Amino acid sequence: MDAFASALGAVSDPFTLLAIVAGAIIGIVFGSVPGLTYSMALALVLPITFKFDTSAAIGMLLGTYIGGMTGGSVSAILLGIPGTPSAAATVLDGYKMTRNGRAGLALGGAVLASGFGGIFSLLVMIVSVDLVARLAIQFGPVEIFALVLFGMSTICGLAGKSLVRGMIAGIIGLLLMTIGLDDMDGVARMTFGWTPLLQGVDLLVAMVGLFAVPQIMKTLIDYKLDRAFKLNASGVRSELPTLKQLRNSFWLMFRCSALGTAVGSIPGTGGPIAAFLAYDHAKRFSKEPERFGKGKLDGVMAPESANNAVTGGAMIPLLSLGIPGDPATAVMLGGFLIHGLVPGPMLFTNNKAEVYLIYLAIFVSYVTVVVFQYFGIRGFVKLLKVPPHLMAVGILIMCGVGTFAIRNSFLDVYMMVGVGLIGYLLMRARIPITPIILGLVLGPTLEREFRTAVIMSEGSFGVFFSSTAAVVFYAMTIGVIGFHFYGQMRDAKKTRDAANGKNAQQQGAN
Amino acid sequence: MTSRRPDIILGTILLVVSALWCWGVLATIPGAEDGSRLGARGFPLGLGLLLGGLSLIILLQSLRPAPVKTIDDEAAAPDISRGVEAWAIAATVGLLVGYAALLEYTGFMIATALVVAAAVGPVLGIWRPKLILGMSVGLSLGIYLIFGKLLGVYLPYGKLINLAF
Repeated sequence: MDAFASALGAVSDPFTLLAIVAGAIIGIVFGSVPGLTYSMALALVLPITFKFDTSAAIGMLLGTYIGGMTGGSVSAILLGIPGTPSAAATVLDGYKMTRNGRAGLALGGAVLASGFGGIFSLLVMIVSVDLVARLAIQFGPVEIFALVLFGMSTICGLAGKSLVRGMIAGIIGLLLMTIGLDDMDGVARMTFGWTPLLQGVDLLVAMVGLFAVPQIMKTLIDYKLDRAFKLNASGVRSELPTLKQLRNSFWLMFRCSALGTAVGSIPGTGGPIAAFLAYDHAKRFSKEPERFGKGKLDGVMAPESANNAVTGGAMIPLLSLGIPGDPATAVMLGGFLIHGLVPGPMLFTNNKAEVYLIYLAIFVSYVTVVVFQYFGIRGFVKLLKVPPHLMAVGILIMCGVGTFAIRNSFLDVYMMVGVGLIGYLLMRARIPITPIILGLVLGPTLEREFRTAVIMSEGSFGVFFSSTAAVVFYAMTIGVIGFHFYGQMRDAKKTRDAANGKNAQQQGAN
Repeated sequence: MTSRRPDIILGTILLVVSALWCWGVLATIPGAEDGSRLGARGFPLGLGLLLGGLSLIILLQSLRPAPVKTIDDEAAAPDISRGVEAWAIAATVGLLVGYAALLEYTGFMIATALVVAAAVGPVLGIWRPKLILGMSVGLSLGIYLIFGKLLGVYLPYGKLINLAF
C-alpha cells in the first residue's frame, strides 16, 4: 500500500496535476483539428517533458494520449471530418445530428461515452495487466524474441491491406534502428566512417519526422487546391443526454467498451477498427437500425465509448509485455524509457509506485477531458477556426524545436526532415507507416534478445525451439501470416471472378 | 500508363536499396570473431536480404497483367496534380532545412522569426504584414517564454549571432 500512497502523493502534486491538465488540453486540440493527430501531439510533447520529473512527464503524456483520443469527436460532429482516424465512425451519425440542429447533444453524448469507455477500460486494464505480467515474468530472451516477432507480425498484417507491404514497412523501421554504434559489440554500423552518425537514428527524431512532416505536406497541398475545411458552427455548447436516454444506452456503452478494450489489447489494431466494429454492433442490435446514419445518438455513443476503451486495452500489452500496439503507445513507450521505466513484466517488481501512478494519471486525465470538453467546447470550436495552413507553420517550428531539444543535435533536425520525406514518399507508394514505427520501437529489443539467446546457447540456434511458450508464439506468428495470405488469395480470386464476369457480360453485350 | 507502374518503380527502388544496404553491411561491419555467435553483422544483413526478397515479390506481382483497375489502384493515384505535390514537398523540406541551418548559425529567435515570415509570405503567398509580423514575433517569443523560460527546454544558440537564444 506504500507504493499506492506514494503514487497518490505524486499525482496530487500541483505541478503533476497541471502537467496532466495541460497534456489533456493539448491532446484535445490536436485530436480535434483535422490534420493534426494525437500521435503527432505525443511526439511533439515528449521532448518538452525531458526536464520534468517522472510523475509530471508520464502524466502529461497520458493526458495528451487520452485527450487526443477524445478530441477527435469534436470535428467529426461539427465538421463531418474526423479529427483523428478513430473518430471516423462518429461522423456517420454525429454530423447528421449537427445538421439536424442537435450538435450540442451529440457533443455531450460523445464526451460522456468517451469518459465511460475510458474508465471502463482502465478497470479492465488494472486487473489484466497484473495477470499477464505474472505469466510473462518467467520469459527469457527466447520467449521475448518470439513474442516480439508475433507482435510485429500482427502489426504488419493488420496495418495495411497487403502483408508484403506491411512487412516491408516493418523491415524499413528495423533497418533504420541498426544504424549507429552497436551497443553489444561496440562496432559502428552503416556509418561509413562518419563520426556524427554514430549516435544513430533516434527513435523520437524518426517519429516526429514520420508523424508531422507528411502531414505538413498534405496540409499545404490542401491549401493550394483550396480543399481545406471551413467551419460554420458558432455558439455551440455541449448538452448532456437525459437520464432516460442514458438508461437506454447504458448496456450499449458497456458492450462497446468491452469490445474496444478487447480490440485495443491486440497489437496492430486500434481506435478506428474498434469504433467501426462498435458502430456496426450498435446498428445490428438496435431496435431501430434504419435510424442509424440519420442522426441517432447511439451511433455516436457506441463508437466513442469503443475508441476510448482502446486506450486501456492498448496499455495491457504495453505495460505487461513492453509491446506497443499502435503509434501512440509506441511514443509513450519511448517516453517511459526516457524516464527510466522499462515496460514489461519486471515493471511491477521494480516500479510498483509508477504503475499506480499510471493508473491514477489515466483516471485524472479522463476526468479532465470530460470536464474540459463539456465546459470548454466553445474554446475548441474557436481553435477549429484557425486556418490549418497557419497551424502547419506552427507545427513546422515545433518539429525543429522538438527534435533539437531531444539531444541538442542539429544533425537530428536534418535527419527528421529526411525521415519525414521518406515517410511521405512511402505513404504515396501505399506502404503503411505504423509498422515502420513499431519496427523502430521493437527493433533493438528484437535484435538484443535474439543475440543474447544465441550467446547464452553458445551459438546453437536450436535454443529458439527449446521453450513451449516460444513455439506457441511462432505457431501464432505463422497462423497470422497464413490467415492473411489466405484472405489475400480469396480477395484476389473475387476480383478476378468479378473481372471475368464483367468481361463476359461486355462480350455478351457486344 | 498502366496502374501497375508505381509498383514497378517501388519494387525496383527497394531492390536497389536492399542491394546497397547488404553491400554496405558486408563492407563496413565486421563479422563475429568466432563462428559460435551472431555478431553485429547478422541482423542487418538478414534484414537487408529479407527486404530484397520482399521487393522481388512486389516486382513479380506488378509484372503480372492486371485484369481490371481495382479501387486500391485508384486510391494510390489520388487526384493531386504533380506540380502542387512537388511544390508542397519542396516547400516543406526547404523550410525545414532552412530552419535547421538558421538555428545553427543565428540561434532560435532570429531563425524562428525569419522562417515563420518566409512560410507565411513567400511560401503560402499571404502578404498581410500584420499577420506575418504577428505570427513570427508571436511564435518566437511565445515558444521562447513558455518552452525556454518556463519549461526549461534547451533552445539552440546561434554560432554567428544571437538574440537571447
